[in-house]
Amino acid sequence: MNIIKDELILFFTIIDFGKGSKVLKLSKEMGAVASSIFLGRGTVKNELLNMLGILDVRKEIFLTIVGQNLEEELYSNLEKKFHLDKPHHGIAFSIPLNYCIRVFEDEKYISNPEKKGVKEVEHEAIFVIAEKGQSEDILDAAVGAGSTGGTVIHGRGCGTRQRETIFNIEIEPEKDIVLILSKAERTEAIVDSIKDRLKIDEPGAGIIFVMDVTRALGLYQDKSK
Amino acid sequence: MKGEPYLNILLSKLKDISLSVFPITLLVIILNFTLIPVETGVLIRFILGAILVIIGLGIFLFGAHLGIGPIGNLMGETIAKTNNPLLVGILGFILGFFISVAEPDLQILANEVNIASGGLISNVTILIVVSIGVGIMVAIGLLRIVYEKPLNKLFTIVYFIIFLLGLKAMEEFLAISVDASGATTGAMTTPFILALGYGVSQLKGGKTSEEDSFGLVGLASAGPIFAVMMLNIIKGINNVQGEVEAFVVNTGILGPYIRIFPRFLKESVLTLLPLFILFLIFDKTRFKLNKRSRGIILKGLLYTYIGLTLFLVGVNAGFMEVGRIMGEGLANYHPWLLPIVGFALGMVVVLAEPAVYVLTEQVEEVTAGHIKRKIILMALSIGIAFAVSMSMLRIMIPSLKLWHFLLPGFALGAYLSYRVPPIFVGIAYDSGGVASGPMTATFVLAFAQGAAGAIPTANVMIDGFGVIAMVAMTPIVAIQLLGLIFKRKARKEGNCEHN
Repeated sequence: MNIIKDELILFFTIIDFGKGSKVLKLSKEMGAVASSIFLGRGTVKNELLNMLGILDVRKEIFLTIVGQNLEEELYSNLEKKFHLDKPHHGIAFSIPLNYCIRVFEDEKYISNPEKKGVKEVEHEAIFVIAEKGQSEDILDAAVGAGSTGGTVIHGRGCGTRQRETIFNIEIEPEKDIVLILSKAERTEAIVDSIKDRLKIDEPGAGIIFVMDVTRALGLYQDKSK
Repeated sequence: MKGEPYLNILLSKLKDISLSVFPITLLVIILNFTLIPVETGVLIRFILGAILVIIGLGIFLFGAHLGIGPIGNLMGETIAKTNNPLLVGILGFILGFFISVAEPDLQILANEVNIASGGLISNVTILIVVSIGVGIMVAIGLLRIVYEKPLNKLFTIVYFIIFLLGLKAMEEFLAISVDASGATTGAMTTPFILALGYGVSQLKGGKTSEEDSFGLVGLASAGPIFAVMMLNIIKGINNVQGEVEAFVVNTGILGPYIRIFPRFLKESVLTLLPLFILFLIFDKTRFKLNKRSRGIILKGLLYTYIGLTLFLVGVNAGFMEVGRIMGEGLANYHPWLLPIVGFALGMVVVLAEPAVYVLTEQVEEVTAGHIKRKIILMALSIGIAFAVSMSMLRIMIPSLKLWHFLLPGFALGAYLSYRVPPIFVGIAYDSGGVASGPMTATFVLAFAQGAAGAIPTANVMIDGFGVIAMVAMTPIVAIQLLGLIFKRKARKEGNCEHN
């Protein structure tokens, strides 16, 4: 495996429906490692609109993995192009990653090789973004390596090179995003198991990234284990 | 944190809707100044109609989002939760039956068929037979989701049976039966059936839940085709009588609006009533919604009512007449332009179809934005453009028959359904039902009838009705061809490559 030492961050943007693809394009041009979009709903706090029955609006949740060197630039680009500095134009935030594995290239980006942490983390969150339809395999592999289970989110996007278009509109392939919370000591095994299960020889096989979780509730393991 | 930014939400919705009605309006105005000048009064009425259509469509869609959609989803979930195939079938039948029996378009059609059959088939018979057809198909469609039967095989069987019936039925009835299918999948039923299928497939989940969210509208619109053809064969009718109603010239600008307003106020109530009653019954026995949720849904139904009424009034008082005048004028003075203008009209008219909006939004929702609204719209536009254009050719050339287009079209549709990703099969057949909504059924139909009336060799009855059949057929081909392109492109691209 090709190990690259590069501080990576997970960058979130929550923005009005329809703008997600534009943010995706922007991040792609800036050289993001991987990106994905899923759909959500956001609140509307306005009496008039609420009275009319508009209680929520469609939102797109955009997440991308970029090198830390790009973080500032991404923020300022978003501010420039999507006016996030003004109210009601969307929000953006970023979280540091522990490491990230790009399955196809067999590359591993390690953010902080020697943990600076004062406090030892007990849990970690594993995210897997893969081709749609692979979530069952991923969960299967994770459970086989000692995970208690996971959550699947349906999304689209990712990719850095493809430019396939129809009627000049870019096609963003569908993705399964799987979130798994695990005990820190099991993370390695789970990630390896998932990595082996995803077909490594195919482009688009997926991306796995891990981040620290300071607290977790609701993770119960079989006592026999 | 007060005020204005939220106006964006309203404004952007209004912009979306204006953009969907604007192209057709612009085209008509251009035609007025170039090829077929219409009277000033007619043009003003048309523009007034366009404004009403925009407002009505906006309110309707908003209401559909709050009312019909959630009701359909809830009912779908409730039906799926029963976990009892027999009950799924029965409930599906009941819903399908009651929703189509109240559809005003169907009542108008029943009247027409009654006249066409020389009184042999009574209005009530048609209403009931067609509604039974819809009920059965909705039941089959829901059971298909439960039993995970592939949509392409089901559609192949359904259309093969229709083909066999079509061999026996008269050409006039072929046209009427497909028109019946357009009539039953109206502005109100389509969003409801879409949401119903979505609700069932969401609750059932599993690997195919995405593609199972579509196809129910397509199946439901096959029901009336069956029903009317069966009626024709059983009753042994072999000549069609009657004429299409004489066209009354409107006078005054506001007059026509005021005259038809009460009719659509009443019709919209009729359309909504069964849904409203079914909702109350389901809510009492199953959903048991809290006051707030129930309030929102009822508010949604009220908006739908207002929106639909305004929309229908605008279309009928403003659009229909212009459609007919344009058709007549072109046929009289520039007949060779009919296919070209028809092409352009088809392209823009489908954008203003209410259910198209609902369908494309659901596609985006289900695929997490993978299949974009705009792409579906473009495929639909091209499909309907061909439908109208080819219908014009058929009106002009007597030796071209309706089945010369329908047979190869549906056959190609069936073939493609084995070649494209399953989700496109469902979307394609649904689009067929969705595209033949109130806008097409009035404006395009009036255009075709106008043209047919002015061309001596054409038959207003057959040629007029046939347009709806074409509009229902071409999306099946167009959307599946789009699916084929999607498949090709997806295969070519490596998804997550790095530079």
